[in-house]
Amino acid sequence: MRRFYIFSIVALSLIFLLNCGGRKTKVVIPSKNTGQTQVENVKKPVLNFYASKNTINAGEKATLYWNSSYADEVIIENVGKFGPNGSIEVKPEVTTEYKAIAQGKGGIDTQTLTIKVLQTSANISEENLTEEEIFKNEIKDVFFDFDKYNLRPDAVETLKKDADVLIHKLPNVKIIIEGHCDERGSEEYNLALGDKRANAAKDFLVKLGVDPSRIRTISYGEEKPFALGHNEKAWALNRRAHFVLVKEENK
Amino acid sequence: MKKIFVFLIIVFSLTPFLFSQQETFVIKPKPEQETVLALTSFQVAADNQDSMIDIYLETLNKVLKDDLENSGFFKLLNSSFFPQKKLSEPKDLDLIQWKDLNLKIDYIIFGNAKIVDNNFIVECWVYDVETGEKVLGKRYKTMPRYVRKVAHRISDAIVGQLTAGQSFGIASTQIVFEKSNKSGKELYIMDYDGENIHKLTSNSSINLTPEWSPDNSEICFTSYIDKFPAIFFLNVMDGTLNKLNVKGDFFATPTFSPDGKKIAFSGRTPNSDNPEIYICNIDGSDLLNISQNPGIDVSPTFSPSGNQICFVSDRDGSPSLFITDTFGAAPERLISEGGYMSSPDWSPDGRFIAFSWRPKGENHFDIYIVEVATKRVFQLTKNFGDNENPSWSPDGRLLVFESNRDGSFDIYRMFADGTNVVKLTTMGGCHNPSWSNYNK
Repeated sequence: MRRFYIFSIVALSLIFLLNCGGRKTKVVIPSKNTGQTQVENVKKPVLNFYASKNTINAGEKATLYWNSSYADEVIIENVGKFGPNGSIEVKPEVTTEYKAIAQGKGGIDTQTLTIKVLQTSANISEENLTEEEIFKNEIKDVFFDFDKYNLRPDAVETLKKDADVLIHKLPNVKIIIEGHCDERGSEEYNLALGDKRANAAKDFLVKLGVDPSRIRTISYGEEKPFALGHNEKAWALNRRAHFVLVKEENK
Repeated sequence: MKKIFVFLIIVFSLTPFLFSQQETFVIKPKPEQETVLALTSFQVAADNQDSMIDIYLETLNKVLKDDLENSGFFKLLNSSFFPQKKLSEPKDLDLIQWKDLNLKIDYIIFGNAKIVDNNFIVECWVYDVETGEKVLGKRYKTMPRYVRKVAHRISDAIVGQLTAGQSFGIASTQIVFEKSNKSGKELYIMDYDGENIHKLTSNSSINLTPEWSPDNSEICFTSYIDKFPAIFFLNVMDGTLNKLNVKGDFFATPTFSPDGKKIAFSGRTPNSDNPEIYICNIDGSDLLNISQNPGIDVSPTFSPSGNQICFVSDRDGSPSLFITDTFGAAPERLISEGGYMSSPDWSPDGRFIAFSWRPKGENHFDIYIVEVATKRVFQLTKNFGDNENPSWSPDGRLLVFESNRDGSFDIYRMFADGTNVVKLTTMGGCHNPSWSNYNK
């Protein structure tokens, strides 16, 4: 199709050139008044206008080319004003007709071409978030004060949100709540303290309506710290009830 | 079998400290009451067949000397004052010569060793210098590689004989402890002197809070082998593992009763909504909650009579020591002062409980003992980092504990009056030592 286009344009141009002005033949125009013969050297411009591609996908570029004879300038509408020969890259967003006008002393020559722009579909796949992803994004751990297992106000707020997610968005998952302690207490006591922390979180979730059979607790005492430093910043991170999703195969 | 335990000497300090725990407590005999020993180097026996004997003898002599000194009962004389004549067997002994030294020697120890047909044979005698009586005469036969064990056995025999049963000797005892690694903690075992360290568990899980059975055949401990913390029994000889058969997701800090038939621990069962002290038979039957309190109850230790239990509870706020009987009578708080108390271990004679304590306002844990009857408290460590998890030697004269005084946690041993602190491990990451009972 495109080849036919180009062929047509080239063929037409050739015919035009051969017939009209290509050979710089002197046109003899008889003068009605004087009877004298006047030699006219001003010829009508001839424009050749084509594109590198006549069909592109949205977002791609194409190049417009032109060359002309007897023209001083070539104007491509909505693109710009150029010399008699040249090229320019264009990136039409939709199918666009380009009109080129070659202007010379002998008049104008107008050519048009159309670049067809194919709108591709946006290639967006769609799937539901997995339980694991919802869990990871929305279930938050809660933190405790030193040697304490009562829920702080911030922990209460966090657990309310956690309970909401567990009840409404993840009604079928089972979870483990891990109880953790910082390194400052004694190893033995921290085993029991971790158990109290995990169960403080569990008991509150149950109070908010989460089925207790969905929750098990593990105390890790001070054996699995999240942060390894020996300062309050690390200790605060390590005094926590940590939520873990029970994977299907373990259910 | 009823044992007579150590008689401990308490000396009240006159130093003007504020608290009762500043009283000092002394375990070694006063210098004038010390038993004076002349330990002579054991000699190569006449019929020895192996030139390697010299190396083994060197070890034997060194270990025996260390063991006798570590026992805390004796003053060992410097051998440079001894007569030139070497002692190998009783016929070499000229008691007059030894008396004439005028060194107030109570007992003289000598012996010989040989390797015959790849057997390592050691003979040992102890004589009373004053009366000239033979106090001890023994022969040991084993493989040469057990030379350290032979020295320990000789030391224990001497201690048992010369202290009239105050101690049966701790040189043959062992210490189990935890060591951290990348994946968790494994249990390790070593001799009382820190030698012969080797792994007891290798399950890449977290293994914690080991305690010996009364006959040293088993170690009970907390482990995450089955994901949830549970109580396991490890057979020390063959390595077999058994899990305590109780229902629940949290069990920790087990300890054997003195008769070995029961076990006490902290646990959350379907019938309790918090960690309580439970006692049950070692097969898991007859489970009894003896703490009955909504707070934390953990780290039980039996009195040597088996009738009482001391444990840690936060029922009054911060972790403190409580004593109850094995049926769960109302627990009584042992020490009124505040702070953070942990890891009690009841002494073999029943008189003391050793524990770690970070008093209110302090930054570090230290080792303390409390006299149960009087509630008097004695501080044993001070100004050397954190000192935690004390465990009594079976003769009640020494304690093993963990300390980070050199940076990382390692295992240390000291007399129960806080003197003669010896570092036993150097690996770092070592915690929660438990001293075995006597090895018979």
